[in-house]
Amino acid sequence: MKILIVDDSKAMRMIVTRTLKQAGFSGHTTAEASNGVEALQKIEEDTPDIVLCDWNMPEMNGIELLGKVREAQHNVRFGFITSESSAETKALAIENGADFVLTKPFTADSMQLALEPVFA
Amino acid sequence: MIDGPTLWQLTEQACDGMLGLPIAPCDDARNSFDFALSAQIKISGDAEALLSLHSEASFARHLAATMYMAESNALEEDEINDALGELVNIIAGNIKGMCPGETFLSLPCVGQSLADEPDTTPAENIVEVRGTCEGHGFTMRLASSIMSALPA
Repeated sequence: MKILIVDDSKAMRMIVTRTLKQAGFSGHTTAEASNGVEALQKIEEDTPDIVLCDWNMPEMNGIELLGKVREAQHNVRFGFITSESSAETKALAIENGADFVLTKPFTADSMQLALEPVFA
Repeated sequence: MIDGPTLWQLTEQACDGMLGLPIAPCDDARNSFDFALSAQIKISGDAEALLSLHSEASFARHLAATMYMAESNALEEDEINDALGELVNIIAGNIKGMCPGETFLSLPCVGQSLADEPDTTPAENIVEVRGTCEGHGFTMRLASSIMSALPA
């Protein structure tokens, strides 16, 4: 599978990549984007299978990106990895077509629980 | 209300739980740390709060080295700033999740230490925790103007 990791923090993109492997999701191709604008371009060009996206980013935030992805009917599974942990945030994400929300800080175990259904 | 133990717990979850960096509380006076960098992030809306992380240079490098899995002396300044900013972003996002009503999170801002600056934050309540991570000092400080809106 092709996984696009979207986060304005390079450190967090590296942590997500590392934790994916620790959670047992190794052997997949990963690409990175540092904001929603860059991510949208990569989704159109590279057609990833899964997008793992931060919420709070400059240029275009995660929920705006999700809106554009669903509007363009890109067939991609989309999940948030975000510190925005309120029930309202999670509900907003799901209402807008997100497949899951994983809250930061996360562990390999919590990532595995959140992503297993998506990778199945 | 967000109290000291809650702020400490959120910091510990981010540092130790996610990054494997154990932290220990420190009762030393604030000035016993030689702060070099500060990272700040603001929550606005129905609750107003400013979260500040004041960090010794060695804490910032240690944090960034762990996040980047790199030698601390091989890190660029923007990588160190990125690591500090992401830590306050994670903790502030969790605090935002405890706030009722509609709130917004700013992007983190990182720069030279503000720990010695006069405190002009119009806050009703200030919570501060101090600690060390493998000998490297930091202070996490939450100033809020509507603490009654922040539940335990």
